[in-house]
Amino acid sequence: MSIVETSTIEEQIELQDLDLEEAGFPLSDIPIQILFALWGGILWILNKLYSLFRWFFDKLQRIYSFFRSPGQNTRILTVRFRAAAEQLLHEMDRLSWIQLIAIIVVFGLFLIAPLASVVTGSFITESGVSLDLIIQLFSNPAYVPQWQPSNFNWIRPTGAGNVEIWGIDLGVILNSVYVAVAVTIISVILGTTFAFIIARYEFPGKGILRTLLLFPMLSTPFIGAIGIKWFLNANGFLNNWADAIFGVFGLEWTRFEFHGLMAIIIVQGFSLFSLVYLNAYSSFMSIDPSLEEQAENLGATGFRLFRSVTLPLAMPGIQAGAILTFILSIEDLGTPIVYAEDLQAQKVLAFQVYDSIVGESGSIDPLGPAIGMILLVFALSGFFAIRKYASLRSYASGSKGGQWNPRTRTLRRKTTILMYLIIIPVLLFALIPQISVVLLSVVQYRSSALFPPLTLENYGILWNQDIQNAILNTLKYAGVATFGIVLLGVSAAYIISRRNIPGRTAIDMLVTSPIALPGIVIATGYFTLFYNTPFFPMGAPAFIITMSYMVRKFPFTVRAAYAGLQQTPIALEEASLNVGASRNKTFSSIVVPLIGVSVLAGALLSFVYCVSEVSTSLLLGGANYNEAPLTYWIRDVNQGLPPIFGAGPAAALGVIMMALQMIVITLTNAVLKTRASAMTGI
Amino acid sequence: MVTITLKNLRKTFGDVIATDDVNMVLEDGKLSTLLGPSGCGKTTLLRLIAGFYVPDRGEIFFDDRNVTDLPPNKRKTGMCFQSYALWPHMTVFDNIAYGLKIKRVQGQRYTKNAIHKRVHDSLELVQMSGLGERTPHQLSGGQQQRVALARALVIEPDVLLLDEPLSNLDAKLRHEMREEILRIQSELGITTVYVTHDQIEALSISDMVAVMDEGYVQQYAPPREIYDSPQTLFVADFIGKCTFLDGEISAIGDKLSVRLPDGQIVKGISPLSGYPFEINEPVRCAVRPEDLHNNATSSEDNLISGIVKQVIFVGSNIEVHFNVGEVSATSLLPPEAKLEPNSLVKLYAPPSQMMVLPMGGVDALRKIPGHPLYASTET
Ligand SMILES: Nc1ncnc2c1ncn2[C@@H]1O[C@H](COP(=O)(O)OP(=O)(O)OP(=O)(O)O)[C@@H](O)[C@H]1O
Ligand SMILES: [Mg+2]
Repeated sequence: MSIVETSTIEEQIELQDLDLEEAGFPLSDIPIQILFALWGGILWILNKLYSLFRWFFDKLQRIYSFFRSPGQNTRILTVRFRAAAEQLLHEMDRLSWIQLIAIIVVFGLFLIAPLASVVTGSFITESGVSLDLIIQLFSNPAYVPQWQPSNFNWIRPTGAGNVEIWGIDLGVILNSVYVAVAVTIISVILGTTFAFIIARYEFPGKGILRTLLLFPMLSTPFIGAIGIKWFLNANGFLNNWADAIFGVFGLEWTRFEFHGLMAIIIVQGFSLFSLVYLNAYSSFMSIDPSLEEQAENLGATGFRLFRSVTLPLAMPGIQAGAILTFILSIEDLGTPIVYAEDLQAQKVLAFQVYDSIVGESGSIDPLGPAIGMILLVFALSGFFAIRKYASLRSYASGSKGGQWNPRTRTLRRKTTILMYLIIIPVLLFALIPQISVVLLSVVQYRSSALFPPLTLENYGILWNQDIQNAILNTLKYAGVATFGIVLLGVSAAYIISRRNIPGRTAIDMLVTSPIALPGIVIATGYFTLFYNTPFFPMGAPAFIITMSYMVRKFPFTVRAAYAGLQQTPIALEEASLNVGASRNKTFSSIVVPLIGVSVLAGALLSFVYCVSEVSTSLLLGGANYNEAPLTYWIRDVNQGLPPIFGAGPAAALGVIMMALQMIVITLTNAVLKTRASAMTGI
Repeated sequence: MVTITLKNLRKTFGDVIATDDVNMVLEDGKLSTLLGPSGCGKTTLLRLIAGFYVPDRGEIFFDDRNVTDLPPNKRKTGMCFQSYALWPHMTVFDNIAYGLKIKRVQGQRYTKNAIHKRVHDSLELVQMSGLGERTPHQLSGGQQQRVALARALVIEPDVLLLDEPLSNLDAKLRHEMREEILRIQSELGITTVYVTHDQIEALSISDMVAVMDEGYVQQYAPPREIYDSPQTLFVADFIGKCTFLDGEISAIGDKLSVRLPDGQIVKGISPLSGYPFEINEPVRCAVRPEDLHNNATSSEDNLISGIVKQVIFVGSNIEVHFNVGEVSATSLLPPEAKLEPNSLVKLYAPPSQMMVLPMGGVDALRKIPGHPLYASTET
């Protein structure tokens, strides 16, 4: 037998002789390989940029070509329009019309209109339409790129023998961009690694690790920043311990602390990586195992398998998560506020918008909208890119996906231990925001002992009248908003997924875009457009806060409901219609039971995101602090004087919020399982 | 109970023409099959009848009622989906009972007991008694298919629409289910449309067969007629086996004379009555393997000679594969015939069995006056 086989193989080789070459891998190749990899990476990025550019260009060209022969095109358009109108009339029944109109009215009034007012506001001055504001902005030395040598001085020893690590100040616009890029890189590395390990390996303690990794999900950078600022202080917990441990070995530990932009990078990186984690995890899990098995069957294993099959299939998910991280980082207001005493931390776009509104009493600095528009440009480009990748993802998941028979590999004892040695420290770092907030809330004020005395005094803040009022406000706003979100969100999801009407994609875009739109810009729009109108009477922001929650946290419910609907074949509804059930009966007895759980999960998510909403709360709450929500008061408490106010009590409030969020995440995660990416709203 | 009339139906998805120019009358109480290769538009046509699609053009009548714009829940059709479409949140029992709970007979609804009885009867019918309390994902593919069938049958619809209802069953069960469907269908006299790509199944159970290709109904006729006088080359090729010989019309008379490339003249008839053949028009002659005999029955018979390539014993007959020039041909001969590979073979085909068909499928049909497709050449 074997002789026959070898001979045939030899024959084959002989036949294909010309096509074969030595498959060796000499060591000298490695540097060349690395160069190739780098070159490949650069090409890849260029290619992405190019395709994005092409995409915009194509759109432009289509608009342009329309105007080249308007007569004919108008005729074509009229025909199309008539067909579309017919389609619309046929697909929609009365209920759908009511739903559709309600959605358009709400989003038109509370999303489009304010954004439009910000955009127009940045072109209009007292002297009429002009580019004055934009020019003014770019001639302001704080905004244009700066390259002074002193700005590059990022390690600054202090008199007390400590080291302060600062960011590099390149001017407001570049600052925001490079901070966001750095945060995105940190997030992609942390998130993808964790996601791959959890999705592909089986080891004791995996369940715990999975739960722990959900913690960062909902902790807003704002709360995390309060904790981290204390935790990584020169006299903070980490430095104290490092100092003590070094002392044992007779070594000198240099106490360090993060300031300015560097602090923002650290805080946001640790808080936002879970966005990438969840999206990457979903992607890894939804790869059909047979795709990888097929590759293995053809002989690919290990790193080659990962690089050639697994990673490309998971890429759209990772990319979508990364872009979302970028956007959330660039629009995050909470972290700069916590670090605002470092002037450098104020030099980011989000803070500047905030400052332009809060700084002026009553009136808005006209520069606010102009800066807001820059933020908006970043956010919108990011959003379109996400849409592109998220739609790509549906190809990757294709058939069944691996949720019923995941491709996991059990690790050997030795490897497991090695992995723990790496993962545990990384995980501890990743969890610093949570650990530090909890610690800060229970240690005594100003104690720098290794084991600071524990106390519950900080939680005394809960008996404060204003705080109780604020908690009530928050629950009220979030509750009402969530109710509206569920009503409209399920309608929107149903229309998007089931009604074949023209403009469906546009509606989809409209209701999911708030995930990427900076709250601070929306709030600015509310001020410029609605201030002193019935929507937003002077000193009474309750209604507009509720509406802002509703619009901004809408995508979570829509995505969850939509995911539920996508998993429910339309044939199930058709089968019901076919046996004579009406549309309404079908909706109530087939659709609702099938997607109910998803909607519930989405509603819970929307609710907790409302509770932890920062940017619009801070801006709109300022109109009347009696009607302000909890997050507004957390900032107030944090800036107040210890011991009654200050970081400790603020952390205590943060812990309450995190506890609430934790309960909800655990619930939704159990419900959404591998669709966990829905939690990030993509 | 109803006669379904389809007039000039067309349905497109973007640029894809899923089905076009469909004109058929599905008579009351008859079983019609839609037969054709994958992707030819069978499901699309079925869904048009069920009301899940609105045609781009054309009309659908149930008896005299125009139902083109009637929503699916008002059409009283029972459909068995290709993908089963069982509701995962309901048990098998509830799945089947759902339609009964909604159904009203003269404004009255079924009692609980009546529903119970009917569901159990239908479960028995599909040989699934005792599995009523399971949920769909606890069933095998074939079992799910039978539940879908039961769900469609139990409401006793006016029209039964079955989209490959037996594709997932083993041969024995398939046969039994087929008998059950036929029994119920003829007992209740339900107008039934049955989709399949199995030609044996289609020919054996149907009153009428519609052979479809690329969205067009190529022929709609009783099974015998489909086999004996295929109207297009596609039908001749898709149903049964055929040997095809290309040529040109050389004379038109009571029989058609066709000149083959080697100069030989064969005589045949065209199953397409009314088609305006022209001299020198390229055509294709088709002959069934069993119509090629090894001795002549009359002097008119066409002589076909070729080189034997392969002889296969298929039980009652031998199947001879041979080459006529470049063309490969097949014939079914009695087992006595002694033939060796690479030997010369001479076979005879009576002109009445030599079918002469024009090239081009549906386009040819458009040239026949009186045909439903006549002159509807605009697309
Ligand atoms: N919803 C749709 N969108 C776009 N194209 C479609 C859609 N449904 C069907 N088609 C296309 O229309 C054509 C006919 O499809 P149809 O489902 O009717 O085929 P079929 O004859 O039922 O095939 P099969 O035997 O494989 O079930 C195919 O080319 C298919 O790709
Ligand atoms: Mg089909």
